[in-house]
Amino acid sequence: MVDFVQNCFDGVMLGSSYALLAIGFTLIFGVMRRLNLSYGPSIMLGAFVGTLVFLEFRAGGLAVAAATVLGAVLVGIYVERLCFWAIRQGAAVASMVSSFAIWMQLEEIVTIAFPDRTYPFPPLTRAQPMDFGPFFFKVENLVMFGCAVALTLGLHLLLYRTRFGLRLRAVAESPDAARYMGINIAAVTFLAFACASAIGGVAGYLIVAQDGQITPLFGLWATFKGLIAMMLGGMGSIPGAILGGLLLGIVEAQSIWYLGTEFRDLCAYALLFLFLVFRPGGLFGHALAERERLALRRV
Amino acid sequence: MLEVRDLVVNYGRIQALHGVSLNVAEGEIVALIGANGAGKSSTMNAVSGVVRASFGEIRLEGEELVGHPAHRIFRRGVVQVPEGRLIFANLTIEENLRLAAAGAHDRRGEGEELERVLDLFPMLRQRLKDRGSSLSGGQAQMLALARGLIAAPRLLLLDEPSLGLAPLAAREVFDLIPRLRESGITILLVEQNVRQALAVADRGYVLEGGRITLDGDAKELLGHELLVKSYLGIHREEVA
Repeated sequence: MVDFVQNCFDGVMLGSSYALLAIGFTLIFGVMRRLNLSYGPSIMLGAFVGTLVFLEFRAGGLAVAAATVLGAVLVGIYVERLCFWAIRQGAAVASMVSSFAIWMQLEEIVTIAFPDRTYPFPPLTRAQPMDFGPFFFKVENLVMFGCAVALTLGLHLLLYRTRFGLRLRAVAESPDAARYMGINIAAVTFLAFACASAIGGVAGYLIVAQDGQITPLFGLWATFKGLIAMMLGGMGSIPGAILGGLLLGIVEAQSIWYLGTEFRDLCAYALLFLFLVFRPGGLFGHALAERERLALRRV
Repeated sequence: MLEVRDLVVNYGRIQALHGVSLNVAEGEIVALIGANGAGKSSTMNAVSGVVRASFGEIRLEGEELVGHPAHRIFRRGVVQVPEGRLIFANLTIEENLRLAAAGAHDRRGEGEELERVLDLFPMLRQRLKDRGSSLSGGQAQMLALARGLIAAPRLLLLDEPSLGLAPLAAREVFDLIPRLRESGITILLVEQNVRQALAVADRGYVLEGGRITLDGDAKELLGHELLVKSYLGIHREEVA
Protein backbone atom coordinates (compact mmCIF):
# COMPACT_ATOMS: atom_id res chain seq x y z
CA MET A 1 0.00 0.00 0.00
CA VAL A 2 2.88 2.34 0.86
CA ASP A 3 4.35 1.67 -2.59
CA PHE A 4 1.05 2.42 -4.26
CA VAL A 5 0.67 5.73 -2.41
CA GLN A 6 4.32 6.63 -3.06
CA ASN A 7 3.74 5.92 -6.77
CA CYS A 8 0.67 8.16 -6.71
CA PHE A 9 2.76 10.99 -5.24
CA ASP A 10 5.46 10.42 -7.87
CA GLY A 11 2.79 10.25 -10.55
CA VAL A 12 1.28 13.57 -9.49
CA MET A 13 4.75 15.18 -9.64
CA LEU A 14 5.44 13.68 -13.08
CA GLY A 15 1.90 14.43 -14.22
CA SER A 16 2.21 18.10 -13.32
CA SER A 17 4.74 18.49 -16.17
CA TYR A 18 2.38 16.64 -18.54
CA ALA A 19 -0.40 18.95 -17.36
CA LEU A 20 1.67 21.99 -18.32
CA LEU A 21 2.32 20.53 -21.78
CA ALA A 22 -1.39 19.78 -22.17
CA ILE A 23 -2.39 23.28 -21.00
CA GLY A 24 -0.25 24.75 -23.80
CA PHE A 25 -1.94 22.52 -26.39
CA THR A 26 -5.34 23.30 -24.89
CA LEU A 27 -4.85 27.06 -24.88
CA ILE A 28 -4.09 27.05 -28.60
CA PHE A 29 -6.83 24.54 -29.44
CA GLY A 30 -9.38 26.32 -27.23
CA VAL A 31 -8.85 29.69 -28.92
CA MET A 32 -8.25 28.62 -32.51
CA ARG A 33 -9.95 25.22 -32.71
CA ARG A 34 -6.80 24.06 -34.45
CA LEU A 35 -4.15 21.55 -33.43
CA ASN A 36 -0.54 22.71 -33.36
CA LEU A 37 1.53 19.59 -34.00
CA SER A 38 4.82 21.48 -33.81
CA TYR A 39 4.15 22.53 -30.21
CA GLY A 40 6.48 19.84 -28.80
CA PRO A 41 9.29 20.54 -31.29
CA SER A 42 9.01 24.30 -30.51
CA ILE A 43 9.62 23.48 -26.85
CA MET A 44 12.47 21.15 -27.85
CA LEU A 45 14.15 23.89 -29.89
CA GLY A 46 13.70 26.26 -26.94
CA ALA A 47 15.38 23.72 -24.67
CA PHE A 48 18.28 23.47 -27.14
CA VAL A 49 18.65 27.26 -26.96
CA GLY A 50 18.95 26.75 -23.19
CA THR A 51 21.51 23.98 -23.81
CA LEU A 52 23.51 26.29 -26.05
CA VAL A 53 23.54 28.99 -23.37
CA PHE A 54 24.64 26.38 -20.82
CA LEU A 55 27.39 24.88 -22.99
CA GLU A 56 28.75 28.14 -24.41
CA PHE A 57 28.57 30.37 -21.34
CA ARG A 58 28.37 27.86 -18.48
CA ALA A 59 25.27 29.83 -17.46
CA GLY A 60 23.34 29.05 -14.27
CA GLY A 61 19.89 27.50 -13.98
CA LEU A 62 17.91 30.74 -14.14
CA ALA A 63 19.68 31.99 -17.29
CA VAL A 64 19.17 28.59 -18.93
CA ALA A 65 15.50 28.60 -17.91
CA ALA A 66 15.05 32.12 -19.33
CA ALA A 67 16.79 31.13 -22.58
CA THR A 68 14.62 28.01 -22.87
CA VAL A 69 11.38 29.93 -22.36
CA LEU A 70 12.45 32.75 -24.68
CA GLY A 71 13.52 30.25 -27.34
CA ALA A 72 10.20 28.38 -27.08
CA VAL A 73 8.22 31.64 -27.34
CA LEU A 74 10.17 32.84 -30.41
CA VAL A 75 9.78 29.51 -32.18
CA GLY A 76 6.10 29.46 -31.15
CA ILE A 77 5.62 32.88 -32.75
CA TYR A 78 7.36 31.64 -35.90
CA VAL A 79 4.92 28.70 -36.04
CA GLU A 80 1.93 30.98 -35.40
CA ARG A 81 2.88 33.39 -38.19
CA LEU A 82 3.55 30.60 -40.68
CA CYS A 83 0.88 28.02 -39.94
CA PHE A 84 -1.95 29.87 -38.21
CA TRP A 85 -1.89 33.60 -38.97
CA ALA A 86 -1.00 33.11 -42.63
CA ILE A 87 -3.65 30.41 -43.00
CA ARG A 88 -6.80 32.14 -41.84
CA GLN A 89 -10.16 30.87 -40.68
CA GLY A 90 -11.78 27.79 -42.13
CA ALA A 91 -8.58 25.94 -42.91
CA ALA A 92 -7.96 23.95 -39.73
CA VAL A 93 -6.59 20.94 -41.60
CA ALA A 94 -4.19 23.10 -43.62
CA SER A 95 -2.88 24.63 -40.38
CA MET A 96 -2.43 21.21 -38.80
CA VAL A 97 -0.64 19.76 -41.83
CA SER A 98 1.64 22.77 -42.13
CA SER A 99 2.44 22.57 -38.41
CA PHE A 100 3.49 18.96 -39.03
CA ALA A 101 5.81 20.18 -41.81
CA ILE A 102 7.29 22.75 -39.41
CA TRP A 103 7.80 19.95 -36.87
CA MET A 104 10.02 18.16 -39.42
CA GLN A 105 11.84 21.42 -40.19
CA LEU A 106 12.55 22.16 -36.50
CA GLU A 107 13.85 18.62 -35.90
CA GLU A 108 16.14 18.91 -38.91
CA ILE A 109 17.50 22.25 -37.70
CA VAL A 110 18.31 20.76 -34.28
CA THR A 111 19.78 17.55 -35.73
CA ILE A 112 22.12 19.56 -37.99
CA ALA A 113 23.11 22.10 -35.31
CA PHE A 114 23.46 19.48 -32.55
CA PRO A 115 24.70 16.30 -34.24
CA ASP A 116 25.38 14.26 -31.05
CA ARG A 117 22.75 11.92 -29.67
CA THR A 118 22.40 13.66 -26.31
CA TYR A 119 23.58 16.90 -24.70
CA PRO A 120 23.96 17.71 -21.01
CA PHE A 121 21.47 20.08 -19.36
CA PRO A 122 21.97 21.71 -15.94
CA PRO A 123 20.01 19.86 -13.23
CA LEU A 124 17.16 21.60 -11.44
CA THR A 125 18.76 21.04 -8.04
CA ARG A 126 21.38 18.79 -6.43
CA ALA A 127 19.54 18.57 -3.11
CA GLN A 128 19.06 15.17 -1.48
CA PRO A 129 15.59 13.57 -1.41
CA MET A 130 13.44 14.40 1.61
CA ASP A 131 11.68 11.85 3.83
CA PHE A 132 8.14 12.28 5.20
CA GLY A 133 7.39 9.18 7.27
CA PRO A 134 7.38 6.17 4.95
CA PHE A 135 7.41 8.41 1.87
CA PHE A 136 10.25 10.23 0.19
CA PHE A 137 10.25 13.04 -2.34
CA LYS A 138 12.90 14.19 -4.79
CA VAL A 139 13.40 17.92 -4.41
CA GLU A 140 13.39 18.44 -8.19
CA ASN A 141 9.96 16.77 -8.32
CA LEU A 142 8.67 19.11 -5.64
CA VAL A 143 10.09 22.12 -7.51
CA MET A 144 8.44 20.92 -10.72
CA PHE A 145 5.13 20.39 -8.94
CA GLY A 146 5.34 23.79 -7.24
CA CYS A 147 6.10 25.52 -10.56
CA ALA A 148 3.20 23.71 -12.24
CA VAL A 149 0.79 24.77 -9.47
CA ALA A 150 2.05 28.37 -9.56
CA LEU A 151 1.75 28.53 -13.36
CA THR A 152 -1.74 27.05 -13.30
CA LEU A 153 -2.84 29.58 -10.69
CA GLY A 154 -1.22 32.36 -12.72
CA LEU A 155 -3.05 31.21 -15.82
CA HIS A 156 -6.33 31.10 -13.91
CA LEU A 157 -5.79 34.69 -12.74
CA LEU A 158 -4.88 35.73 -16.28
CA LEU A 159 -8.03 34.15 -17.71
CA TYR A 160 -10.49 35.27 -15.02
CA ARG A 161 -9.07 38.50 -13.58
CA THR A 162 -7.72 40.42 -16.57
CA ARG A 163 -9.19 42.13 -19.61
CA PHE A 164 -6.95 40.02 -21.84
CA GLY A 165 -8.31 36.84 -20.22
CA LEU A 166 -11.88 37.98 -20.77
CA ARG A 167 -11.15 38.72 -24.43
CA LEU A 168 -9.42 35.38 -24.82
CA ARG A 169 -12.41 33.51 -23.40
CA ALA A 170 -14.73 35.49 -25.66
CA VAL A 171 -12.68 34.67 -28.77
CA ALA A 172 -12.54 31.01 -27.69
CA GLU A 173 -16.34 30.94 -27.42
CA SER A 174 -17.22 32.82 -30.58
CA PRO A 175 -14.78 34.70 -32.80
CA ASP A 176 -17.73 36.01 -34.83
CA ALA A 177 -19.38 37.61 -31.80
CA ALA A 178 -16.01 38.87 -30.52
CA ARG A 179 -15.48 40.78 -33.76
CA TYR A 180 -18.62 42.85 -33.04
CA MET A 181 -17.24 43.69 -29.57
CA GLY A 182 -14.22 45.55 -30.92
CA ILE A 183 -11.81 42.75 -30.07
CA ASN A 184 -8.65 42.51 -32.12
CA ILE A 185 -8.84 38.78 -32.76
CA ALA A 186 -5.45 38.50 -34.46
CA ALA A 187 -3.77 40.13 -31.44
CA VAL A 188 -5.60 37.91 -28.94
CA THR A 189 -4.68 34.80 -30.92
CA PHE A 190 -1.06 35.88 -31.18
CA LEU A 191 -0.80 36.51 -27.43
CA ALA A 192 -2.55 33.22 -26.62
CA PHE A 193 0.05 31.46 -28.77
CA ALA A 194 2.88 33.30 -27.02
CA CYS A 195 1.41 32.39 -23.58
CA ALA A 196 1.05 28.74 -24.58
CA SER A 197 4.64 28.71 -25.86
CA ALA A 198 5.91 30.27 -22.62
CA ILE A 199 4.06 27.66 -20.54
CA GLY A 200 5.50 24.96 -22.81
CA GLY A 201 8.96 26.49 -22.38
CA VAL A 202 8.67 26.28 -18.58
CA ALA A 203 7.40 22.69 -18.81
CA GLY A 204 10.24 21.81 -21.21
CA TYR A 205 12.86 23.33 -18.93
CA LEU A 206 11.51 21.50 -15.84
CA ILE A 207 11.35 18.13 -17.62
CA VAL A 208 14.75 18.37 -19.31
CA ALA A 209 16.43 19.73 -16.17
CA GLN A 210 15.07 16.77 -14.24
CA ASP A 211 16.53 14.35 -16.81
CA GLY A 212 19.83 16.26 -16.91
CA GLN A 213 20.14 15.71 -20.67
CA ILE A 214 18.35 16.49 -23.92
CA THR A 215 17.91 14.79 -27.28
CA PRO A 216 16.20 15.96 -30.50
CA LEU A 217 13.55 13.29 -29.85
CA PHE A 218 12.30 15.35 -26.93
CA GLY A 219 9.98 17.22 -29.33
CA LEU A 220 8.22 14.00 -30.35
CA TRP A 221 7.97 12.93 -26.71
CA ALA A 222 6.55 16.29 -25.57
CA THR A 223 3.99 16.28 -28.41
CA PHE A 224 2.80 12.77 -27.55
CA LYS A 225 2.61 13.36 -23.79
CA GLY A 226 0.86 16.72 -24.18
CA LEU A 227 -1.61 15.37 -26.74
CA ILE A 228 -2.42 12.25 -24.70
CA ALA A 229 -2.96 14.32 -21.53
CA MET A 230 -5.17 16.78 -23.45
CA MET A 231 -7.25 13.98 -24.99
CA LEU A 232 -7.66 12.23 -21.61
CA GLY A 233 -8.94 15.47 -20.08
CA GLY A 234 -11.10 16.56 -23.01
CA MET A 235 -9.97 18.69 -25.96
CA GLY A 236 -10.12 22.40 -25.18
CA SER A 237 -10.69 22.11 -21.40
CA ILE A 238 -7.99 23.55 -19.11
CA PRO A 239 -9.21 21.72 -15.96
CA GLY A 240 -9.34 18.63 -18.18
CA ALA A 241 -5.74 19.19 -19.30
CA ILE A 242 -4.62 19.35 -15.66
CA LEU A 243 -6.52 16.24 -14.62
CA GLY A 244 -5.50 14.39 -17.80
CA GLY A 245 -1.85 15.17 -17.13
CA LEU A 246 -2.07 14.02 -13.52
CA LEU A 247 -3.90 10.82 -14.48
CA LEU A 248 -1.29 10.04 -17.13
CA GLY A 249 1.52 10.66 -14.62
CA ILE A 250 -0.04 8.37 -12.00
CA VAL A 251 -0.65 5.55 -14.50
CA GLU A 252 2.93 5.82 -15.76
CA ALA A 253 4.39 5.86 -12.23
CA GLN A 254 2.39 2.78 -11.24
CA SER A 255 3.32 0.92 -14.43
CA ILE A 256 7.03 1.71 -13.95
CA TRP A 257 6.92 0.30 -10.40
CA TYR A 258 4.72 -2.75 -10.95
CA LEU A 259 5.54 -3.69 -14.57
CA GLY A 260 8.89 -2.11 -15.40
CA THR A 261 10.14 0.97 -17.27
CA GLU A 262 9.58 -0.64 -20.67
CA PHE A 263 5.82 -0.75 -20.00
CA ARG A 264 5.55 2.97 -19.22
CA ASP A 265 4.60 4.17 -22.72
CA LEU A 266 2.61 1.02 -23.45
CA CYS A 267 0.40 1.70 -20.43
CA ALA A 268 0.01 5.36 -21.44
CA TYR A 269 -1.22 4.36 -24.92
CA ALA A 270 -3.43 1.63 -23.43
CA LEU A 271 -5.04 4.26 -21.18
CA LEU A 272 -5.62 6.52 -24.17
CA PHE A 273 -7.09 3.58 -26.11
CA LEU A 274 -9.52 2.82 -23.27
CA PHE A 275 -10.61 6.45 -23.14
CA LEU A 276 -11.09 6.63 -26.91
CA VAL A 277 -13.29 3.53 -26.78
CA PHE A 278 -15.31 4.22 -23.60
CA ARG A 279 -15.12 7.99 -23.10
CA PRO A 280 -13.98 9.56 -26.37
CA GLY A 281 -14.71 13.09 -25.16
CA GLY A 282 -12.26 12.70 -22.27
CA LEU A 283 -12.90 13.47 -18.58
CA PHE A 284 -14.39 16.91 -19.28
CA GLY A 285 -15.70 16.15 -22.75
CA HIS A 286 -19.36 16.27 -21.76
CA ALA A 287 -19.02 19.57 -19.91
CA LEU A 288 -17.18 20.97 -22.90
CA ALA A 289 -19.79 19.74 -25.37
CA GLU A 290 -22.45 21.44 -23.24
CA ARG A 291 -20.47 24.71 -23.30
CA GLU A 292 -20.15 24.43 -27.09
CA ARG A 293 -23.86 23.75 -27.41
CA LEU A 294 -24.66 26.82 -25.31
CA ALA A 295 -22.23 28.94 -27.30
CA LEU A 296 -23.87 27.94 -30.56
CA ARG A 297 -27.41 28.38 -29.27
CA ARG A 298 -28.97 31.71 -30.14
CA VAL A 299 -30.66 32.87 -26.96
CA MET B 1 -22.31 61.96 -39.80
CA LEU B 2 -22.21 58.74 -41.86
CA GLU B 3 -21.84 58.85 -45.63
CA VAL B 4 -21.90 55.70 -47.70
CA ARG B 5 -21.13 56.07 -51.42
CA ASP B 6 -21.38 53.38 -54.12
CA LEU B 7 -20.78 50.58 -51.66
CA VAL B 8 -20.12 47.18 -53.21
CA VAL B 9 -19.77 44.01 -51.12
CA ASN B 10 -18.91 40.62 -52.58
CA TYR B 11 -18.96 37.20 -50.93
CA GLY B 12 -16.72 35.25 -53.25
CA ARG B 13 -18.44 35.41 -56.63
CA ILE B 14 -21.74 36.59 -55.22
CA GLN B 15 -22.28 40.33 -55.23
CA ALA B 16 -24.45 41.29 -52.25
CA LEU B 17 -24.43 45.08 -52.68
CA HIS B 18 -24.46 46.89 -56.02
CA GLY B 19 -23.42 50.46 -55.24
CA VAL B 20 -25.42 51.39 -52.14
CA SER B 21 -25.37 55.07 -51.16
CA LEU B 22 -26.94 56.52 -48.02
CA ASN B 23 -26.50 59.26 -45.43
CA VAL B 24 -27.19 59.43 -41.72
CA ALA B 25 -27.08 62.86 -40.07
CA GLU B 26 -26.03 63.33 -36.44
CA GLY B 27 -28.87 62.57 -34.02
CA GLU B 28 -31.02 60.90 -36.69
CA ILE B 29 -32.70 57.52 -36.65
CA VAL B 30 -32.55 56.04 -40.13
CA ALA B 31 -34.28 52.77 -41.02
CA LEU B 32 -32.93 50.40 -43.63
CA ILE B 33 -35.69 48.11 -44.77
CA GLY B 34 -36.03 45.30 -47.24
CA ALA B 35 -36.73 41.61 -47.66
CA ASN B 36 -34.44 38.77 -46.62
CA GLY B 37 -31.25 38.82 -48.68
CA ALA B 38 -31.78 42.42 -49.82
CA GLY B 39 -28.38 43.42 -48.40
CA LYS B 40 -29.38 45.16 -45.17
CA SER B 41 -27.02 43.24 -42.88
CA SER B 42 -24.25 43.36 -45.48
CA THR B 43 -24.51 47.16 -45.47
CA MET B 44 -24.29 47.24 -41.67
CA ASN B 45 -21.43 44.76 -41.55
CA ALA B 46 -19.49 46.80 -44.10
CA VAL B 47 -19.99 49.98 -42.04
CA SER B 48 -18.80 48.26 -38.84
CA GLY B 49 -15.85 46.70 -40.70
CA VAL B 50 -16.90 43.12 -40.00
CA VAL B 51 -17.23 42.61 -43.76
CA ARG B 52 -14.73 44.13 -46.16
CA ALA B 53 -16.12 46.52 -48.76
CA SER B 54 -14.99 45.62 -52.29
CA PHE B 55 -15.60 49.10 -53.61
CA GLY B 56 -17.00 52.44 -52.50
CA GLU B 57 -16.60 54.84 -49.62
CA ILE B 58 -17.80 54.79 -46.04
CA ARG B 59 -17.07 58.02 -44.16
CA LEU B 60 -17.72 58.80 -40.53
CA GLU B 61 -17.58 62.57 -39.99
CA GLY B 62 -15.39 62.79 -43.08
CA GLU B 63 -12.96 60.03 -42.02
CA GLU B 64 -12.70 57.01 -44.32
CA LEU B 65 -13.60 53.71 -42.64
CA VAL B 66 -13.02 51.34 -45.57
CA GLY B 67 -9.87 49.30 -45.08
CA HIS B 68 -9.82 49.70 -41.31
CA PRO B 69 -10.29 46.58 -39.17
CA ALA B 70 -13.49 46.17 -37.14
CA HIS B 71 -11.81 46.80 -33.77
CA ARG B 72 -10.51 50.23 -34.93
CA ILE B 73 -13.91 51.23 -36.29
CA PHE B 74 -15.44 50.13 -32.96
CA ARG B 75 -13.06 52.47 -31.11
CA ARG B 76 -14.19 55.33 -33.34
CA GLY B 77 -17.66 54.90 -31.88
CA VAL B 78 -19.36 52.74 -34.51
CA VAL B 79 -20.96 49.91 -32.54
CA GLN B 80 -23.12 47.19 -34.03
CA VAL B 81 -25.74 45.14 -32.20
CA PRO B 82 -25.77 42.18 -34.59
CA GLU B 83 -28.66 40.13 -35.85
CA GLY B 84 -29.22 37.11 -33.59
CA ARG B 85 -27.73 39.11 -30.70
CA LEU B 86 -24.60 36.92 -30.46
CA ILE B 87 -24.23 37.25 -26.73
CA PHE B 88 -21.58 35.06 -25.08
CA ALA B 89 -23.58 32.25 -23.53
CA ASN B 90 -20.74 30.95 -21.34
CA LEU B 91 -19.75 34.37 -19.96
CA THR B 92 -21.72 36.02 -17.16
CA ILE B 93 -23.89 39.02 -17.93
CA GLU B 94 -21.37 41.26 -16.19
CA GLU B 95 -18.55 39.80 -18.29
CA ASN B 96 -20.59 40.34 -21.47
CA LEU B 97 -20.97 43.99 -20.52
CA ARG B 98 -17.39 44.51 -19.38
CA LEU B 99 -16.13 42.96 -22.60
CA ALA B 100 -17.84 45.64 -24.68
CA ALA B 101 -16.84 48.38 -22.24
CA ALA B 102 -13.18 47.31 -22.32
CA GLY B 103 -13.00 48.05 -26.03
CA ALA B 104 -13.96 51.70 -25.47
CA HIS B 105 -12.99 52.78 -21.93
CA ASP B 106 -10.21 52.56 -19.36
CA ARG B 107 -10.92 50.62 -16.14
CA ARG B 108 -12.40 53.62 -14.28
CA GLY B 109 -14.60 54.60 -17.18
CA GLU B 110 -15.67 50.99 -17.52
CA GLY B 111 -17.16 50.96 -13.99
CA GLU B 112 -19.00 54.25 -14.53
CA GLU B 113 -20.44 53.11 -17.86
CA LEU B 114 -21.53 49.83 -16.30
CA GLU B 115 -23.53 51.71 -13.64
CA ARG B 116 -25.08 54.02 -16.25
CA VAL B 117 -26.20 51.14 -18.44
CA LEU B 118 -27.50 49.09 -15.50
CA ASP B 119 -29.69 52.05 -14.56
CA LEU B 120 -31.21 51.82 -18.03
CA PHE B 121 -31.69 48.03 -17.77
CA PRO B 122 -32.48 47.26 -14.10
CA MET B 123 -33.33 43.64 -14.95
CA LEU B 124 -29.68 43.02 -15.82
CA ARG B 125 -28.46 44.39 -12.48
CA GLN B 126 -30.24 41.59 -10.64
CA ARG B 127 -28.63 38.93 -12.81
CA LEU B 128 -25.08 40.16 -13.26
CA LYS B 129 -23.53 36.85 -12.13
CA ASP B 130 -25.80 34.65 -14.26
CA ARG B 131 -24.52 33.17 -17.49
CA GLY B 132 -25.71 34.58 -20.79
CA SER B 133 -27.26 31.20 -21.60
CA SER B 134 -29.79 31.63 -18.77
CA LEU B 135 -31.55 34.59 -20.43
CA SER B 136 -34.79 34.45 -22.41
CA GLY B 137 -34.88 35.88 -25.93
CA GLY B 138 -36.18 39.26 -24.77
CA GLN B 139 -33.66 39.48 -21.92
CA ALA B 140 -30.85 38.50 -24.28
CA GLN B 141 -31.88 41.30 -26.64
CA MET B 142 -31.78 43.74 -23.72
CA LEU B 143 -28.29 42.50 -22.88
CA ALA B 144 -27.23 42.89 -26.52
CA LEU B 145 -28.53 46.48 -26.50
CA ALA B 146 -26.90 47.20 -23.14
CA ARG B 147 -23.65 45.77 -24.48
CA GLY B 148 -23.88 48.07 -27.46
CA LEU B 149 -24.61 51.11 -25.27
CA ILE B 150 -21.84 50.48 -22.75
CA ALA B 151 -19.32 51.03 -25.52
CA ALA B 152 -20.53 54.66 -25.67
CA PRO B 153 -21.40 54.60 -29.38
CA ARG B 154 -21.65 57.70 -31.52
CA LEU B 155 -23.30 55.65 -34.24
CA LEU B 156 -25.31 52.59 -33.17
CA LEU B 157 -26.09 49.98 -35.81
CA LEU B 158 -29.12 47.95 -34.75
CA ASP B 159 -29.56 44.84 -36.86
CA GLU B 160 -33.03 43.27 -36.55
CA PRO B 161 -33.47 44.11 -32.84
CA SER B 162 -36.98 42.62 -32.70
CA LEU B 163 -36.15 39.37 -34.52
CA GLY B 164 -37.55 36.35 -32.66
CA LEU B 165 -39.03 38.40 -29.83
CA ALA B 166 -42.53 38.12 -28.38
CA PRO B 167 -44.68 41.19 -29.26
CA LEU B 168 -44.36 42.64 -25.75
CA ALA B 169 -40.55 42.32 -25.76
CA ALA B 170 -40.39 43.79 -29.28
CA ARG B 171 -42.44 46.76 -28.09
CA GLU B 172 -40.02 47.34 -25.22
CA VAL B 173 -37.15 47.43 -27.71
CA PHE B 174 -38.91 49.91 -29.98
CA ASP B 175 -39.86 52.07 -26.98
CA LEU B 176 -36.17 52.23 -26.07
CA ILE B 177 -34.89 53.40 -29.47
CA PRO B 178 -36.17 57.02 -29.27
CA ARG B 179 -34.74 57.26 -25.73
CA LEU B 180 -31.34 56.28 -27.07
CA ARG B 181 -31.52 59.09 -29.60
CA GLU B 182 -32.36 61.52 -26.78
CA SER B 183 -29.10 60.54 -25.11
CA GLY B 184 -27.24 61.72 -28.21
CA ILE B 185 -26.77 58.48 -30.13
CA THR B 186 -27.25 58.38 -33.89
CA ILE B 187 -28.96 55.18 -35.02
CA LEU B 188 -29.02 53.15 -38.23
CA LEU B 189 -31.75 50.56 -37.84
CA VAL B 190 -32.24 47.42 -39.91
CA GLU B 191 -35.62 45.85 -39.36
CA GLN B 192 -38.04 43.54 -41.12
CA ASN B 193 -40.92 44.92 -39.12
CA VAL B 194 -41.34 47.82 -41.53
CA ARG B 195 -44.23 49.51 -39.76
CA GLN B 196 -42.50 49.68 -36.38
CA ALA B 197 -39.16 50.65 -37.89
CA LEU B 198 -40.60 53.57 -39.81
CA ALA B 199 -42.68 54.62 -36.81
CA VAL B 200 -39.53 55.35 -34.78
CA ALA B 201 -37.29 56.50 -37.67
CA ASP B 202 -36.86 59.97 -39.15
CA ARG B 203 -35.96 58.72 -42.61
CA GLY B 204 -35.79 55.39 -44.37
CA TYR B 205 -34.11 53.58 -47.25
CA VAL B 206 -35.56 50.58 -49.04
CA LEU B 207 -33.08 47.97 -50.27
CA GLU B 208 -33.92 45.46 -52.97
CA GLY B 209 -31.44 43.03 -54.47
CA GLY B 210 -28.48 44.98 -53.10
CA ARG B 211 -29.68 48.35 -54.44
CA ILE B 212 -31.46 51.30 -52.84
CA THR B 213 -34.78 51.54 -54.65
CA LEU B 214 -36.56 54.08 -52.51
CA ASP B 215 -35.70 56.60 -49.82
CA GLY B 216 -37.34 59.48 -48.04
CA ASP B 217 -39.06 60.74 -44.92
CA ALA B 218 -40.27 57.87 -42.72
CA LYS B 219 -43.89 59.07 -42.59
CA GLU B 220 -43.99 59.49 -46.37
CA LEU B 221 -42.51 56.05 -46.89
CA LEU B 222 -45.19 54.52 -44.68
CA GLY B 223 -47.77 55.77 -47.18
CA HIS B 224 -45.77 55.02 -50.32
CA GLU B 225 -47.67 52.77 -52.70
CA LEU B 226 -44.70 50.52 -53.51
CA LEU B 227 -43.90 49.98 -49.87
CA VAL B 228 -47.51 49.34 -48.93
CA LYS B 229 -47.75 46.73 -51.69
CA SER B 230 -44.43 45.04 -51.00
CA TYR B 231 -44.04 45.14 -47.25
CA LEU B 232 -47.18 46.31 -45.52
CA GLY B 233 -49.61 43.91 -47.18
CA ILE B 234 -53.24 44.85 -47.55
CA HIS B 235 -53.60 47.13 -44.56
CA ARG B 236 -53.44 50.31 -46.60
CA GLU B 237 -56.28 51.95 -44.77
CA GLU B 238 -54.44 51.39 -41.48
CA VAL B 239 -51.40 53.15 -42.87
CA ALA B 240 -53.42 56.04 -44.15
